[in-house]
Amino acid sequence: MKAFKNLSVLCALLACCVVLSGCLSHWFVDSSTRLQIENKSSKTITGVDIVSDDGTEYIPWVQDTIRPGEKSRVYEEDWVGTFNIRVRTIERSTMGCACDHLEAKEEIFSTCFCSVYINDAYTVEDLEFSGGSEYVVFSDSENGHGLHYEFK
Amino acid sequence: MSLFRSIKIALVAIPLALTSALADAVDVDAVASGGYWTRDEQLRDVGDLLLFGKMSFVDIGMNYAPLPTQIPLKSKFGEHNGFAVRHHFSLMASHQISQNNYLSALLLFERSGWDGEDFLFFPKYTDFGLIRSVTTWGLGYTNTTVDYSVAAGMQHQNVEFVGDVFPAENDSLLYTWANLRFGRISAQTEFHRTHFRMLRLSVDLEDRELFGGASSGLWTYMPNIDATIYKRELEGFDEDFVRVNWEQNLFAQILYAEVSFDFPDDGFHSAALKLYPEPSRLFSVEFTCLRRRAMADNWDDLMFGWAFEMPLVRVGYNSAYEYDHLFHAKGTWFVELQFNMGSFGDALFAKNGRKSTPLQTRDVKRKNTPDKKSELIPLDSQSANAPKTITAKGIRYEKSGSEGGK
Repeated sequence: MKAFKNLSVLCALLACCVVLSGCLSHWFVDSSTRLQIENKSSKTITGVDIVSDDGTEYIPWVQDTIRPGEKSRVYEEDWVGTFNIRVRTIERSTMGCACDHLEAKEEIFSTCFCSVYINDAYTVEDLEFSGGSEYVVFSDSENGHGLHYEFK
Repeated sequence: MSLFRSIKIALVAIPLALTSALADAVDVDAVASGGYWTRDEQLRDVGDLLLFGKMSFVDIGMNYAPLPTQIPLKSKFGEHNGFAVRHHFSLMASHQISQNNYLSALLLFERSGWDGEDFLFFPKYTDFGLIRSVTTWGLGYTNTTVDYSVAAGMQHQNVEFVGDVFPAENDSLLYTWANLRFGRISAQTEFHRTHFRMLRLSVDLEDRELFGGASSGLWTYMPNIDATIYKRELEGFDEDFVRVNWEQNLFAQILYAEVSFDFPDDGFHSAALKLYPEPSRLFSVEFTCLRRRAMADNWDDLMFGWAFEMPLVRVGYNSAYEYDHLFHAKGTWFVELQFNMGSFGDALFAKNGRKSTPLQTRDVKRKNTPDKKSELIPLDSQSANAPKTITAKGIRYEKSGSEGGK
């Protein structure tokens, strides 16, 4: 009978550990990531996505347009682990003009757009998110092409 | 970075580093097909329980992986941290309706899947989780004069939540099953509506003392063999296969070998050497070898692992059982808090036990039992004020040695 009593106390203790373990692990492990972006680059960031390994699918994460010097809102998603992220940018180029010529009644109408926007996407592979708040700063990379990112 | 966060990270960093260095992610497809193997496992348990349709049995357990990097999920987007979850509960109750006739009720339940947070009752249902439950229930009748049993019931598979990365799954699937046993030969089948899903034929030749067989000798060395025809579809084509299991007592129902093969094409599936220090199977140590296959990539390798089990806990590493029933998880420690016990009359035994555990109560006849009218009871207990007299019978000797008198 004493052995049974001891066993039941052991069971009760184990049950407590089990019931609490789910809650306790959430003290120091987050199951979602709250991501905020600061754009210190010269390009406008139009969004941040998670891209599949084969590059054919994506799920949007940050859906703000972040002009140079601005911050995004905080987007909380269940991305905890190792993923490929893609940063979409748009940049005004002064490389040339794009013109449309329209002939009508022996007259030629020309419409030119001299600012050409270049859409670009930069992919960072196997980026690790451990959950909780993440603040990422994007800046121009030193060689002039691409973006540099830093978790702060 | 705040001090609190540094401490939090430091608390987790070492165990995280230790386990994540070894852990392998479970694949989305393995989690998606988990229900198929859960249903099979439950019906296999039903067959084992109905081998002896007279007992009562209870089994409860849950996998315990404290860290989210232990069993991550591999999807097309990358590797998600989280928890593979498996909670199960089984109950069989038998009632003797007349001298040789028994009725049994069976209920087996499992809730399993993967989620971003661990839970006992209430999942968080993160975007990339999948939680499903499988319930098997049925009624059985056993006749011990002719030694046969008939049982039938239903099986429900329900998904509570399917995340974005998993293939679509029916939220409610209903199957019917039936189990027939005549002596040592059993047949079990399962249907989804009118579609045949599975047929298992089992021959359990090994004698078990618990079931009224011999406790030792040649008949305890007979094999237990079962063959299961599974309906399977691969990329839209019927790819039915047959899995054959052979369980063999190697030494005194303490050491067993198990091997399983898939026919016609797949070949060797797994093998195990299992040691049960005593035949009630409360304790076990197993060494397993499993052949991992990826049909699409046309590769295979052998995975070696081990596990030990005792009342309340099972611990394993790369063990075949966990690979088969926990979404092909490997590369980490598996801890399962579990308890299972069967009983019939005075006999207690663990799942598939061969003999009763030696812990059972025994009546011991005491010699020289004193007369019921003990000398220490007051002679006149009716009146409370009466002087209580203690009479002593017998002679008390006192030894007066040289050392005692000082």
